[in-house]
Amino acid sequence: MSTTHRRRETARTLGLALVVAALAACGSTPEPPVDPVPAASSAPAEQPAPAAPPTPVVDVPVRSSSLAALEASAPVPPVSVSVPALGIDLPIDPVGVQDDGQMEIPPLAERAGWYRFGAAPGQQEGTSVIAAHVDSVASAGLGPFARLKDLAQGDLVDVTLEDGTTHRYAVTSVVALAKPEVTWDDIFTREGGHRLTLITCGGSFQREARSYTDNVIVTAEPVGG
Amino acid sequence: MRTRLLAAGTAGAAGLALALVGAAPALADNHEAKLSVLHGVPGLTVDVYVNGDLTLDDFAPGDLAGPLDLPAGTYTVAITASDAADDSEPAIGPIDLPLEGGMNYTAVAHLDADGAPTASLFTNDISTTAAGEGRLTVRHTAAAPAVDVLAGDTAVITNLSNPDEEVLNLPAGTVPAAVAATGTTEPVIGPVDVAVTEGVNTIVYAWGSLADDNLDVAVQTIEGLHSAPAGVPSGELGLAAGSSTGTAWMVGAALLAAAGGAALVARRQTAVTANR
Repeated sequence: MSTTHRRRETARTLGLALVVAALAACGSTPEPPVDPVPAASSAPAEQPAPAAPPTPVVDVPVRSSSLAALEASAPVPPVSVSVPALGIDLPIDPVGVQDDGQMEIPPLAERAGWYRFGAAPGQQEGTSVIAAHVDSVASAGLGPFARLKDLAQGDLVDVTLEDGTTHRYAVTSVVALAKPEVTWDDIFTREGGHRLTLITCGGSFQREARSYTDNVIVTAEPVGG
Repeated sequence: MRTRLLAAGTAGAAGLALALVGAAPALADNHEAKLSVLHGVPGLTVDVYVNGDLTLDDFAPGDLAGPLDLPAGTYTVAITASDAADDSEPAIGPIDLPLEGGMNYTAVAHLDADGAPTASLFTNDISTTAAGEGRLTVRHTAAAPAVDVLAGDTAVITNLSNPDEEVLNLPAGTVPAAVAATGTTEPVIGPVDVAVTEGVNTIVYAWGSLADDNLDVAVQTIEGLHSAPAGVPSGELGLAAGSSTGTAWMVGAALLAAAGGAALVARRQTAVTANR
């Protein structure tokens, strides 16, 4: 957080709880709210405060709305992925979304793409998605991810970030799914425990659509801390 | 003092249409509403009372409070001087805020176009954004005439009046935005770089007073609106197909067919790299 804004002394984070007594103590009418608010948690309000200005009945988080106060939390991007068991070691490009709404894939099958809008490797939550062409026009042949389907449970995957740190994962599943069967919301989830998903194509090839029928999807979970 | 309460910030036509189309909330509990409060009246530290109870103490201009999760219902809000003993003599209000379950609102204390303090309730668009896109909401809550919002030299929003809003869905990225009197290009605010983050509704308020030379920008963000890409098209030739014949022919044909696309592919690659 690279903000310079002063934090007000009133950074409060409680839930909505009515403490009518506090108001009563300083002379305001101690009647209940006209439109009662069901309190999520009713804090005890037993002791009458000494005469003082009214105090808030709830603690509401308050922050500056200035543009400078906006958090810019860009994760450290991955730069390479390696699978020692298969002799795979690919550089990674951060990628986004194609015009047709599908994930962008680096044209060369010797480069992998990391979905930069999702979790980065090494984060606490969500799935990091890294994909590469199984074969491509630009490479005029097969790429290293053609071997993904040979991965076995427990095989290790290392992802190195731009800052030089490496995050190790162990394969938990390798599946080939017909593309229409894949629930992409689950694959690209930004919630839940962190994991790594490697994706390429497989199945048979539909010449007319110039597309494979399946996606090969490898799921891996962090090893150690 | 008379105040105005707007059901949904009578938006410019496009923005309102979007807000209505996208009214189905993606994430919210249907029995609760989310409410944020923005203080956009320069030079006036206030207290905010909700249903007669002090809720925000010494709320300063430019501050954003919340969001609060509130049971659906109507809330009465009064804004007083910061040293008031109660809400019997509000500076703004009291106004009623009808909050529907599952919706996300921002109540804004601000100046009207003529410089009088008022309050508006805006409904925030929390519908899902397309993969790769973010949402930019622009709200005019300043004592100023109608404005255009410029991105570079191009007016992306025209003739936006206090207290209206406009909603844009844009590819994620940074927008160099400036605000100018409508029909002109001389900025009265900015240019400032506004990050349009993927899956986030970034709400930008113009507030303050043109006459008093204290126009400013306030920003609120609502996260978690993202959606997944529609697929992963990660093969082009058929070389990895389980059982195929004549692959050599297919490679040749595919290469020929794609030759024209190669330059395009190369450009896309460059663009991706440039985005890093």
